[in-house]
Amino acid sequence: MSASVTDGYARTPSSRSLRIRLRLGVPARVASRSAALLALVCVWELLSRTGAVNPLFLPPFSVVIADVYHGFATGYLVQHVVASLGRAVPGLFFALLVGVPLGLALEASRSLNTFIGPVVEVLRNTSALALLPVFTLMLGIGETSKIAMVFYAALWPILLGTMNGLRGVDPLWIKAGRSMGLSGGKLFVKIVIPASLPSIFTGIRLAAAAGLLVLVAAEMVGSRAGLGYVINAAQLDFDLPGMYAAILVLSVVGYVTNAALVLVETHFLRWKTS
Amino acid sequence: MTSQATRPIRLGFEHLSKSYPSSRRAGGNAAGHLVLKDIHLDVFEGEFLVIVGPSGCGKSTLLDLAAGLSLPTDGRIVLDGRAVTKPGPERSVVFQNYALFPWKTVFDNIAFALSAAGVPRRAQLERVRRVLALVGLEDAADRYPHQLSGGMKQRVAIARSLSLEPEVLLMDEPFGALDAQTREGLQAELRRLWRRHNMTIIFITHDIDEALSLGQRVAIMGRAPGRIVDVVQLPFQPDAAVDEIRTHPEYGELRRYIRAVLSQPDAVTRAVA
Repeated sequence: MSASVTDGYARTPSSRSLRIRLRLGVPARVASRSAALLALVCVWELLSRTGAVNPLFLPPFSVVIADVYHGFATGYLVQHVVASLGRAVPGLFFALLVGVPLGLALEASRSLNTFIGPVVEVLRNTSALALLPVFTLMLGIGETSKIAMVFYAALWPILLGTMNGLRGVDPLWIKAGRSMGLSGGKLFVKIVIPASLPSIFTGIRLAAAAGLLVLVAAEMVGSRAGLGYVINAAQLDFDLPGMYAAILVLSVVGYVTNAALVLVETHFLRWKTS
Repeated sequence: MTSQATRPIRLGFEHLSKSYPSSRRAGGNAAGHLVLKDIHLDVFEGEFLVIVGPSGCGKSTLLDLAAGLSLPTDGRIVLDGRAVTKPGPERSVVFQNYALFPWKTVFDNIAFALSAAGVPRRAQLERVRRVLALVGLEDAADRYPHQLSGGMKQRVAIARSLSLEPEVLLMDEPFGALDAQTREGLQAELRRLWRRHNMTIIFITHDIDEALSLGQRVAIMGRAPGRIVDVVQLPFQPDAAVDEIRTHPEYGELRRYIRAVLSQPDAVTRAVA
């Protein structure tokens, strides 16, 4: 057993960085991560206050954040955040519902892939924004067309993430599973799916970002609610603090969405980072 | 040799041939590309048999057939008198690249194999503990594969196979990816496990020294098509240490002979009994 004693646990970078993080503690971590953000805010405030940039076009950060507070206090911004999320979440959800099974099917069946593959290739390279008028014509200017836009934009990253994940499954894992007596459905559920999860999660995060992007554009063009509408409407009213306030909220929504997805991801993919 | 003949046969390769359907572009004939030709070999109960051959000789294909992962074109494989047609827990495979599932802990990797073999949950805990102790990894149960060194990964893979309590352990160049020191340590450990548990092991390698220090018999394969050229009975004691084997008076001669057969399978006459 002498050899077994000498080959210790492999040192991974993650275990080392974990130790550093533990030593610094949570407050230090938060401080180091928000320093650059704080600097950005300061630069913004200074540029506007000193007149280096016309404060009419770029109101100071303090004014904008006061507007954000006001918007939430009166419930005005809350209502529009809810409207936007009410379109983004169902759109993303449907994209997941269609994208993952479609990706599995396309990867599983070669004939289906050769048949539908080119269609997928063309559609995925057609900008969702270019299709905005088409969606509006077909589905009206109501909620359905907005949700459909998000769905369309979110579908492709999820589909590609799924297909990519399946392609990355090590044949050796399949072989090992077969040698243990697994076959067909069990092999798929117990080995293929868990092995593809990292790539599927990456697809979901890209999809959320793409969905939000398209949603804002759709709301700007034809809607009476949502953050995209607020940004556009405020600009037309020359209420620039209101416009920046909506942009700020949009950034936070995007950031929080991504952070939430990362949290879910790390829970399911503990084995990659722990 | 006479005692060998009376020992019961655990696994028999009976006039085994394997060919793959050939594409015409590859220049194959109508019968397909012949990978293995008329392999006939008996593996006895409790025997440590090493199959040594050059790369591309079909030795991995031979192991896949024994595992039931693919079917022979001709002939059959018989385990305890019954023909092998599909994988089963009585034959467990250890692969060169460990084949551990990275999303499962060491414990769950082993428990997964036990579940697949139909071992009830309650019995699994105890079995996993036992095999991990066997390979000296009790403390690594909750670790993920990426936190282990290559040698530890392969010990987990061996533990996973042992947990199934297989009748035959099939090992496909299991130490090929390890550094020399780790490999020697694991070779000694494997021999110890084999002696202690009276297992039947079929071990594939392209390394002559590994073949000589592990096995009781060495089957030498030739290439194109893959076939058994000779089977050599080794004179070493089962409990001999690797160093004793390497300094044995016949070691050098055996090594030379196997090397000569491997390089020129048809031109060499048998120099050792």
